[in-house]
Amino acid sequence: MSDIGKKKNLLALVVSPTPTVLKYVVLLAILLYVFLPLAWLLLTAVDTNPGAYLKLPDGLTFGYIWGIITSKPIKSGSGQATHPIYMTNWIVNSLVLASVSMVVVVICASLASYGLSRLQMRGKGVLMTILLLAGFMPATAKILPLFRLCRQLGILNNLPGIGVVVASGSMGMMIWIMKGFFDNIPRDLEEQAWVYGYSRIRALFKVVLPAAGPGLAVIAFLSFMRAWGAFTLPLVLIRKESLFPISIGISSVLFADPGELGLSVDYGSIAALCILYAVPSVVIFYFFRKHLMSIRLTKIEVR
Amino acid sequence: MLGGENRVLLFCLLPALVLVIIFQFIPSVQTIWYSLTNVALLGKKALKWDFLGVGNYVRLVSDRYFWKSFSVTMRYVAVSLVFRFAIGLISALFISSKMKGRTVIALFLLLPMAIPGVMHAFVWISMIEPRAGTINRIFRWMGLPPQSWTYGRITESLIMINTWAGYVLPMLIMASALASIPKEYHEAAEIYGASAWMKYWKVIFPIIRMPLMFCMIIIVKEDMDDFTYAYMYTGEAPRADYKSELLSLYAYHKAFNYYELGYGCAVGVIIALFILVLTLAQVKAGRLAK
Amino acid sequence: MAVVTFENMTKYFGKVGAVKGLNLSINEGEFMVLLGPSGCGKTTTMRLVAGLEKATEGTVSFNGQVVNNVPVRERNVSMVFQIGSLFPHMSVFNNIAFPLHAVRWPKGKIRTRVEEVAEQLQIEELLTRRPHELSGGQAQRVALGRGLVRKPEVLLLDEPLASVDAKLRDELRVEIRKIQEIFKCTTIYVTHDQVEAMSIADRITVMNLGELQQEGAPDDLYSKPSNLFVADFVGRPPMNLLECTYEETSGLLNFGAFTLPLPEAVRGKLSGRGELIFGVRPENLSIATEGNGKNTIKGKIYVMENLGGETIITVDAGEHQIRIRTGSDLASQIDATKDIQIAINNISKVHFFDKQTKENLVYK
Repeated sequence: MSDIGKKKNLLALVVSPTPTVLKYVVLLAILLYVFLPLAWLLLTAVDTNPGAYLKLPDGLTFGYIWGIITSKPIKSGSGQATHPIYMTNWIVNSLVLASVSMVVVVICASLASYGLSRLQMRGKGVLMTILLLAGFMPATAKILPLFRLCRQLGILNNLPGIGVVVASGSMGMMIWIMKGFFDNIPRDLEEQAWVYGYSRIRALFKVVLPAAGPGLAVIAFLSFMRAWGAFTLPLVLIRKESLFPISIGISSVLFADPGELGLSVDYGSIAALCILYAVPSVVIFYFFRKHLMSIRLTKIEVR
Repeated sequence: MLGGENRVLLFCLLPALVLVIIFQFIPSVQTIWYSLTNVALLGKKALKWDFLGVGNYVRLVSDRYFWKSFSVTMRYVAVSLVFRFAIGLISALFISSKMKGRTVIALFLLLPMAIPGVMHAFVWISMIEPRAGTINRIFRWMGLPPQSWTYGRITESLIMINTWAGYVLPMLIMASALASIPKEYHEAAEIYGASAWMKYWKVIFPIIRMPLMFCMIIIVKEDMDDFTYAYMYTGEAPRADYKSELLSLYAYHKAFNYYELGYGCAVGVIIALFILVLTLAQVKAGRLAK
Repeated sequence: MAVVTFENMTKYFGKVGAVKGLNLSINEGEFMVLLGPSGCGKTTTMRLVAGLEKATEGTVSFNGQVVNNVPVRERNVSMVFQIGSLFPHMSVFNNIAFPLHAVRWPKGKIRTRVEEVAEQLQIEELLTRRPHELSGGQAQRVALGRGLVRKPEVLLLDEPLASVDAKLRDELRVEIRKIQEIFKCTTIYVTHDQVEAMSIADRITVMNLGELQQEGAPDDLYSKPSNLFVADFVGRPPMNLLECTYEETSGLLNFGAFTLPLPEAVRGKLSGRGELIFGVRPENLSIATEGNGKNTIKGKIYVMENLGGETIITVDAGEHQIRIRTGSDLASQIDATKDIQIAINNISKVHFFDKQTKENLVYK
């Protein structure tokens, strides 16, 4: 009844590209799209004569990276009085900010989620929803009054204080994640410890927390990564240059003159800094990617 | 109900609850409150301000800069949606296929999500630089006129950066949705004669249309509030042509450049309303699915 | 509707041989059942016909034309899956019409054809429903409708009743057979259930570990199993298979705990053989009212399972366990505590298998 395996028209093959060729062209386009900006970053970080465009290095140097490590200052360009900028300060500031944020999140979120996990109360769902939705306004809308609020609280230009603020931003989600981990630890584990004479606190520390270790690692690294890359909050709440974290620092040297897009920027140093900046983020992301991706995907379903 | 054990557990909630109330809830409420006043960030009006009711909102209606910002934002969101979704979907199809090397490609394609947001705007300078930037070089090579990505076409540049960073999330969502389809549907479609195009269009996508729709709503919710790239390419004061002035940036400038905190908050509330509508759509779509 | 031929068809998944050197021919319009335990290669064989797997070696042909390199969608093969896999978001009508849309039939022609098929399958009133609104049996009929709407070369059914209730299974398998008779389509039906196979097949191909064990009509497989595997697999309860030694000088089969004389008819075929496996079906045995120990087996009843109309009696005879199938009326009269004698009803219906090669020495 049917012709099995009709021969394709040879002309048709020549005139229009086969689906497979088109497929690979599209894939290549996407890969290039992703790759080209990053290629520039890598090349510029070692280029003796870097520019704001993709080129092969005129000469290779590790001077920029070395400069960061040895805390050499870079000059800020653009017309205004040039003054040395110590990028190492930025790194230190970011570390402080992210670490404080991480510690605050781990302590507050694990406590809260432990409570929520073990709590048997009618309003439990309501409490969880409150925690998730308390910050119901979009981020940029919230930062406007947040400036005033933090000024009144005296925590402007205070890195640890701002770390706390950053931590509060993701608290709801972190509690939600951590609660999942605690829910998976059966009550029996604790009850056994109680039977053997441990107080609730000791049981928590000796039995439950170790079992929830992976969960703690996940929220620790997630919150670190979040604070490490935070931009909007530090932008508004940190006005003193010596306290800039890396994100604000990079932004600050970029466009002293917006129209020019920071043409007089020391691209080599900034590129090198960016690579260092990206390292913790990338490492954490790839190491935890299975967790992170499932979290992001479930966050979608919840929201 | 408030037994001894529950008391302890409620205390556990306290630190987190306090932080969230102080730094999340109160500012949220304040935004709405301030939007009804003419409070300023500095100066006299920082201490003595008036209640305006909907005064700020009335002013927004006739504020042509607001409307410029609004149209820029709408364009940004709409075009970003198309490209983020398209590239995300195509990438998801690739990494879900049986292609060789797909794991490596998948890992590579995750990169923009793995690196901090500030870096996105920085590395893209090399692409949009008008004289020797990569995009204009490709354009010249293809015989197309080079564009002024840093001036006239700044909105397009922002969209390109946003797409570059933002395709990863839809890619992940859709890859996971595609993976959830049992292979029997693929096989049945093939056996019964469907071409690849027909199979995806008539069978696969309709089956996952819920996740696809959610994906789109989430993308738009994210993009409505985008700030970082626009700020990094604009600075503390708006550009003359307002072409990079996303709504969130406009609100920021109003509050921190012109010190008009109340007015800025009103813009913020507008953004929030959009996101609220989108969230309601999301919830309704979720209910429909059940 | 095609004649399907396999020549030396082999499929390896890495090092695992799923199908090894299959030679088989299926006639036009025939209902062929591939029977065997899990992992025997029956599903792989079927998928090779569909084109969902590519043969490592050998060929698959439709009407003499090799189709190894014909892509799946061009083979005009239909497949009904275990879970039906009707497209959940489409109506029954659109599901059945799907293959016709794929080849761009005009709308009017599609409507006519789908309604025609629906009538033949008696599912006309289901056309506007969605798959999740259908019962298991209805879904299967719709799946068959989709499979038969465009007159395929071969219809493939992959254990379609595996997830169906036991009671429904009996009805549905007959229905499938009846439908196939209406459409007269060359059909390959895969199952591990030998009752199913025996009930509806024109021919059965028994497979094990990727190799064809025997193919033929159900009767032939039942009464003339060509090897031990087929003898054991086909028939419920399975054939009694007892190890014995043939003592040529005395003409006796020595089972250890007892002996039996070798039937004259097979004496020639078994000369020179030592260790054998003796096979006799449970319904070919009965409890002897009088036994002389020479032609009967002495044993003690282990258990009697009364299945209603018939009873399965398991008897211990030395180190052998023998099953007998007999009417429940007769069985109820037996005293289970005493020793009993087992007699072979029809001595021409016993089998002898070589202990090493497992082959049937009498019927090849």
